[in-house]
Amino acid sequence: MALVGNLRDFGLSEFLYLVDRGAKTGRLTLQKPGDRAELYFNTGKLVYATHFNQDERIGDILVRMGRVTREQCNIALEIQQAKQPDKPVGQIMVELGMLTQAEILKCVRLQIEEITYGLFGWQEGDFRFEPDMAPPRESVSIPLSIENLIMEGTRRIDEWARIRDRIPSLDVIVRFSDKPHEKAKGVNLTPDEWRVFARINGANSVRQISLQTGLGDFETARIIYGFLSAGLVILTKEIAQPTPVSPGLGGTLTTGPLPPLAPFDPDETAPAPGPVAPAPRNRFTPRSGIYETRPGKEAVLRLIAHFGGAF
Amino acid sequence: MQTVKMVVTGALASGKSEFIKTISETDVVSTERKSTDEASLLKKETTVAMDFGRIVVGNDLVLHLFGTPGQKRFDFMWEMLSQGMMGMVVLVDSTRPDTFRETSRIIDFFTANQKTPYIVACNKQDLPDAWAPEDIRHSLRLDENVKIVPCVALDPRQVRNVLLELLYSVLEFIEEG
Repeated sequence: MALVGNLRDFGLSEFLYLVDRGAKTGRLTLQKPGDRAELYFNTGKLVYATHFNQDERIGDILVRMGRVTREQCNIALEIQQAKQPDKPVGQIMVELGMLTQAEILKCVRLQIEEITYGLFGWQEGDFRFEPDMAPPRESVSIPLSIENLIMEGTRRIDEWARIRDRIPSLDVIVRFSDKPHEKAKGVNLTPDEWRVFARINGANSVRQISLQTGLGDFETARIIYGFLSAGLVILTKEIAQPTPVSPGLGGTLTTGPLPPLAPFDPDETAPAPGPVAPAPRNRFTPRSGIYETRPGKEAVLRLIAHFGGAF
Repeated sequence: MQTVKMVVTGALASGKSEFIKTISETDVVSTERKSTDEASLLKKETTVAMDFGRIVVGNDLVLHLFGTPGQKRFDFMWEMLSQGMMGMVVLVDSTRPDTFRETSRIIDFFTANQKTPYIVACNKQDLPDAWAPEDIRHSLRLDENVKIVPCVALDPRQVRNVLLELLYSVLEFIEEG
């Protein structure tokens, strides 16, 4: 079944994460007025990309990069059209001794990466993922790690709005996800990214990391956004930040717990007379208001039986 | 009378009201009114306070089901509604990837300060463009140990199954101490 949506609501980095974790195979088509691109995946790796507004064929790229001459390219194309229509033109060039296999692969890889990085700039656009769609037969496929693509793609993000979607506050704490080192093995980080990475300890907030590294709030948040998108870190609850009061009062206010809320019983038609006893703030207690937060096993078994379940 | 509480939460128009209506034995108390903001684009009548349903088991056990308001401006209600809950169902509209981020935020809110069993129910699985539960798991970045189940909130059998799955999680939670 196809997965459809819009990049405005579900960004490319989020979709790539889904492809990676779901080890998906298929074609992701991105489309907006006057523009269209296709990314092909094989078991969670990006293997091919094409952008219809920048549809530069491999031969043209090799000419542009100075790897072959225009004449050599034309010779290879003529052979392809006349004798070997199913064979990639790059492969024909290799067989003719114009360049090596490694040079072709490097060039294709660059092309796939550049197309993909360009797509991170799309603010919106419809996407459609169709499973099990393979790249065109004549294309050269190279499996590329999604994490690195996400990291590089997010390096190009330059707006707070997108970052705020994932990092709503600078006071959230950053910690590594369950197996960060395993996931981090294939990811290449810039020196600034390493500075941030080294200060992630499950206790530092985004704001604290920003202060410690001196990178500034935006740059720190952008780097952490990249880590988040690649699944390297997760955010946990906000910490209480000391809030200075007006000068002269000689102290600081800290964000404390809210006053307790009265228990709410929807079965009651009228409030009980007299003052309402404060409900325990600690929600780990077995009872909160009229409710048993940890009902006995027997009550749960009865509910299971009521709904027709087995135990 | 022993009273226990479950919360049904989720983004706007994820199907919380339908879910509670489908399973409740008594008329659902709902304070819905006509939407006046952007929510009206999604839902003709959106929940502004809460849905409340009740299921009585025997003569001494009552299950209360509370739906959380879907609109962001009613977030302040979540704190109150979550107090005393023994478990939580998070509904996701499987056809609306644009609501996944909001769903993640809701899960974060409810799980940040308390360890409560919860499951994610992928609603509207009967529609042709519904995302598969496993795709939604990855999109919401849920751990493998969080249960995620398909669901059609209008189908009593499927709603019962969702509640059963949550109850099994509650049972495990109790047994783990």
